[in-house]
Order: sequence, then C-alpha cells, then structure tokens
Amino acid sequence: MSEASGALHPPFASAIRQRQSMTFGMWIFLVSELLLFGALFLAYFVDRHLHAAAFAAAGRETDLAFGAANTAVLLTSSLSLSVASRAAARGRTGLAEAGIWITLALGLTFILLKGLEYREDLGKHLWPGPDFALADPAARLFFGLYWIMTGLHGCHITIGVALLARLGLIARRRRLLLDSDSVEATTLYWHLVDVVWTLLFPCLYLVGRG
Amino acid sequence: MSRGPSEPKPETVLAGPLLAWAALLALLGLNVLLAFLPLGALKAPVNIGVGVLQALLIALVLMRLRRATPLVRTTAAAAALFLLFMFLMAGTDYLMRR
Repeated sequence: MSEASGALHPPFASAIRQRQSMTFGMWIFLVSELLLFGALFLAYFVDRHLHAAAFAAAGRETDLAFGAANTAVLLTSSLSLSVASRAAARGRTGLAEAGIWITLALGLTFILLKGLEYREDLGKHLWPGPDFALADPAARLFFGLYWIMTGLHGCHITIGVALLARLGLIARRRRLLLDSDSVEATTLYWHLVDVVWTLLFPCLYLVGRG
Repeated sequence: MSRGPSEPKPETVLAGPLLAWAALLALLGLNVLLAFLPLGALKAPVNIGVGVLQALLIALVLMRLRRATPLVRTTAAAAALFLLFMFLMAGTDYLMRR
C-alpha cells in the first residue's frame, strides 16, 4: 500500500522504513521551498502595508481571467495526480498512468496560459522598466514582485513537468510499482507547487478589485 | 480482510480527491466573488484566508498529512512555525511604525 516502497534499496532494512525516510526527506525539502516563497510573501506584505493605494491600483492591472483559469487548471492537476498516486498505491497502474499524463498535460496548459498572460502583460507595459504603464513608483514594487514570484513559481512548474514526464516514462516501462517512491515524491512536490499558487493568487489577482 | 479497531480506513482512490477538488474550486469561486464585495479593510485578510484554507485542504487531504506519521506532521508544522516567526518579527517593526 502507500506505506511501503516498491523496490528496496540499501541502506534500508525494510520497505516501510525506506518509504518513511523518503516522505520525511521530501517534507524537509518542501518546508525549505515554503520558506523560500515565504520570504517573497513577506516582502509583498510589507510593501503592500507601506503602499496600499499603489498596490490596489497595480493589482487591478493583472488579468483575473488568466489567474483564475490557471488556478483551476492547477487544482485539477492536483486532483489527477492525487488519483494517480492513490491508484498506484492500490496497484491500479492503468489509472495511475492516465492520471500522470493528464497532470502533465495540465501542467503544460498552465505554462501555455502563463506565457500568453506574460505576453499580454508586456504588451500593456507592466514590466517595471523605462516605459512602465503606471505612474506611482510604488506600483513598480507590486509588479517587481509579480514577475519574480510568478517567474519563480513558473520555474517550479517547469521542474514539476519534467518530473511528471519522467514518471510517465517509468509508467510506460511498467516500473510504476517498483518505483512507487518516485510517484509519492513527485506527487508531494506537485501539490506543494499548487499550494504556493493558491497563496499567490489572492495576493496578485484579487487586490484592488470591486 | 478485517481491520483492527485502531487501523484507519483505507484511502479512497477517487472519492477523497474528487471531494477535495470540488471544495477547492468552490473556494476559488467564493474568493473571486468576495474580492468584488465592499468588505473594506477585511477584504485582504478574507481573500488570503480563503487561500490559506485551500492550502490546508491540499496539505491535509491531497498531501495526506491527515494520515502522516507524527514526524512528518511535525516537519510540516515547522514550516508554519518558522513562517510565523518571520512574519511576527517583521511585523513588530513595520506594523509599529508611524
């Protein structure tokens, strides 16, 4: 079940111990990722506190449709990967593989939508450079954080997509049950990337509305 | 196969994730709606609060923290704790400035 690894590797004496170690190690890594984004969120909240009006004005310029669509895409990708991981734990490799490929497709959809959104943002001169669209200097802080936070998140999505592609290949080679640790580790990573986005969305897309 | 009284129910493959997903999408819709309401100073904490709720749902259900060992749950809690330290300490500066 989901409490034990598929294939045993040294130095572990038991499959359960190996799985526990993998899960613990992954969570330590995920905690470090949360702290990484946490620092950016702190910068965001400090700047928002110091420049509330500028943040509200700048926040209205982000594309809520793109943001909400991408949130829905990412939440659905977490559904498909969660199903895949639970199916793999039950030995249902067909369903697991389908879930992995669906998640990969949704991850690529996220990247595509983000790219289209970035293109639109650049067209609206929302890059905080010489021809920045908004007059208030503090609006540059909002968009500086927007590009950095979504860019860093996008890097994480790209890494996640590569991990999912690797999982898909493992599934194709009928090694999903042997390498169930990879399934669990990738699933945890992907869910964390989703968690970060659910926190990013209200900060970047719901400011200054209404 | 019979389970002992202390063993947890086996995980569902579809039902659990589907329910969590439906709740997450509902929260997304709610959050967008709330953003357009005249909530004044409450709007930011409410919107971010809904985001935090979604994050907790993903962590507890989809990332299986509900079923994890105490060691893993403590590790996850450490993230919350250290983030809290960071925000509190920065807050004692920025929130106290005139």
